[in-house]
Amino acid sequence: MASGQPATIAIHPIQAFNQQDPASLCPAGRGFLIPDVNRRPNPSRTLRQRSRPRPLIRPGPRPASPPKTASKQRPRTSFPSGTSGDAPAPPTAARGPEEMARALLLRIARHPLPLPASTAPALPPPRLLPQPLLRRHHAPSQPQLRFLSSLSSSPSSVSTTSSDAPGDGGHKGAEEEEEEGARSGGCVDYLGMSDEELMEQCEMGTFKASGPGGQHRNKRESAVRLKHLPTGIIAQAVEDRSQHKNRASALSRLRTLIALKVRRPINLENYTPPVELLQILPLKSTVRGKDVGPQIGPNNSKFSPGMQALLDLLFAVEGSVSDAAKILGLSTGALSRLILSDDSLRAAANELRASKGLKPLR
Amino acid sequence: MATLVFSPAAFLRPKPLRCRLLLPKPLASASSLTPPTPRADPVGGSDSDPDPTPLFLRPASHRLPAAALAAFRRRAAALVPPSAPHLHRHLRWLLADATAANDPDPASRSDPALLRAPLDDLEAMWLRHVRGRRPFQYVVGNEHWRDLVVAVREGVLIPRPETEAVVDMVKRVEGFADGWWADLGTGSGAIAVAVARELGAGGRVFATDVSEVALEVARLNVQRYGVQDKVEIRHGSWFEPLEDVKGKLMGVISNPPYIPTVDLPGLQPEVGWHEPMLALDGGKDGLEHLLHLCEGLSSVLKPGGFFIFETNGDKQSEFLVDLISTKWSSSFRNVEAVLDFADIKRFVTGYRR
Repeated sequence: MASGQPATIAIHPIQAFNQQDPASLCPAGRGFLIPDVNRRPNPSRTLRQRSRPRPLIRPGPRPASPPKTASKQRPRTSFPSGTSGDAPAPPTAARGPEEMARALLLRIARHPLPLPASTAPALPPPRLLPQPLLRRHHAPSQPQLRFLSSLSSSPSSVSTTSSDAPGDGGHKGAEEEEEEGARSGGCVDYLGMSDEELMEQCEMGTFKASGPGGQHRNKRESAVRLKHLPTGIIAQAVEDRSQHKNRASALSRLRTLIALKVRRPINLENYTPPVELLQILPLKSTVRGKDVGPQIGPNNSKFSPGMQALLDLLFAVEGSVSDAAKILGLSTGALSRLILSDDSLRAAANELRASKGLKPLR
Repeated sequence: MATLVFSPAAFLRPKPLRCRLLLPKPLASASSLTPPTPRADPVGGSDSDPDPTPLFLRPASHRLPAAALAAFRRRAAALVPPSAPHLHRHLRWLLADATAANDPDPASRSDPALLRAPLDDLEAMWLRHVRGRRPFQYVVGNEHWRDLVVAVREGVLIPRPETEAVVDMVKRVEGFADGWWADLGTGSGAIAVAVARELGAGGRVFATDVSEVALEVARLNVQRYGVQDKVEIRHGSWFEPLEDVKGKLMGVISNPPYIPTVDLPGLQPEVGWHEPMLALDGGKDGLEHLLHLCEGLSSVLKPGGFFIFETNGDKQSEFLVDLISTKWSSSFRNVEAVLDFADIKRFVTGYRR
């Protein structure tokens, strides 16, 4: 036993996320982010509008992180049944997974950060769910999974970034893009970073347990919640047995979310698809050289960078699949099939198209 | 993989007797969540498994058609409501631990599937968990703790996630790697093994426990992680087995029983009915053992030595910090309470002068 690590189990991360991860139900709100590289915009910088397609969300200043005491204000019952691994269901039991998801999202909607409400009165409601749904359900009286209630900062952090825009934020956004462009020649390649580098940009939170904890309690909770500070994107994993695995899962989920959310400007005039993008294209693409190797599918960790590049391109061509297909040396049908092959990619592409007034791909 | 065959006497041990004694009728209403006594065992027989080897370490020798396994999975899932996601998670983990392959979806792969226990046993295990409230960790015989898979069974406290932080704090002590450490009341040996894995060539851990069952399990975990040369397991109460290393210890670590006796009836069933009271009952105010440990500290630690105790939380930690830094201020410095991940003052740490 020199290696020291005994055989253990492996839960497929995708399966894990699909089943319970609330973040997968509500991937950090809707829309795209242009990363706020410096996190705090410099007000003295000159404002310059750039001729770019209208981004869906422009980052404002990062919202202050929620006050730490906030979590303490929640009532702490001594032995809440939900945290104790109790077998009997709470009285409201017999909920299907969908209902649970709704209840969860409801809680998210009901407990936004204290911050945004006053600062942005004109803010449209976060596009999480159709309104009627939000009104129909009652919030569970005591949060069963206290950790999930901390999720409340997930959509609100995104909605604040978007909601700060209406006032002076439009200019701010442009300004930050300028900064960003000046700094790194166009974009920040978060996905190109190593896990350690990416981790350093994140704030990690773990479970906030209610009750006395310690020897009082039997619950395997090893959830990890990562907040990527430059973009405000939140990824979390609750499904695995050890915190170590959950950290890895959350990080890979973060990579996917970054790919889906962070749009980097590209110049169409002298555009050549990056190799990450070529790798996810089908072999029949005419711009795909022989040396690119086999096509990489959605289950490969290298799919995310390719997906990001593809969405960047789609964003640059105003959502037109046929234009993007031409650039990538594919038929429109082949590119559509690629986009439809992955649910999150399809959702992101359709959202992008919807913002340009185009019909969704089916 | 080293496996250890537990003595049959260990699992024939009566059900937690003290537990029942501590739960007199009048207290039944103390908590509406915890019925006063365990329900009758849903599957009959002893609380422990007939096979003392933890499930996840048994050979995967029971063939079962994949369809039968999938049927079991459906039956088992039907026993728990969708509103209890943790139980559905447990079912996945049970199947993962019970099947041979490290397979995300054990029911779909190999046919026939290879199980570590007959299907009937699995059914019984699952029932004991969801109906009898037997801790899941005892069912599969392990707890994933830090980067370890720690073997556990009845009679040993299941290591808690809060306690993981102890190892990180110990690692930061200057001169950690080559020091001699004591883990008092080691239980499953989780702390001792995790610390030992970080030690340098000169480092040692003396892991003591008064419970023979605990020592057996600790020995198994030490063997599984191959740290026999670093961990010395000793039988006895707190400092008793450490006479020969008095004044030589770089540090003392302990997660002693700290739950006030009056709080025991309100524990969740998984804890109160199944975990050893010996490892939970901290006596009056939960301080009985913690105070004993504080009193013995100065004689075993070498000058500059470090100590860390886990406590019941805010009040206990504050009390101990206050006590040590006033009553024994000449012996200790930098005594402080440290928060756990839930922002509860969970640990008391300090240094001998």
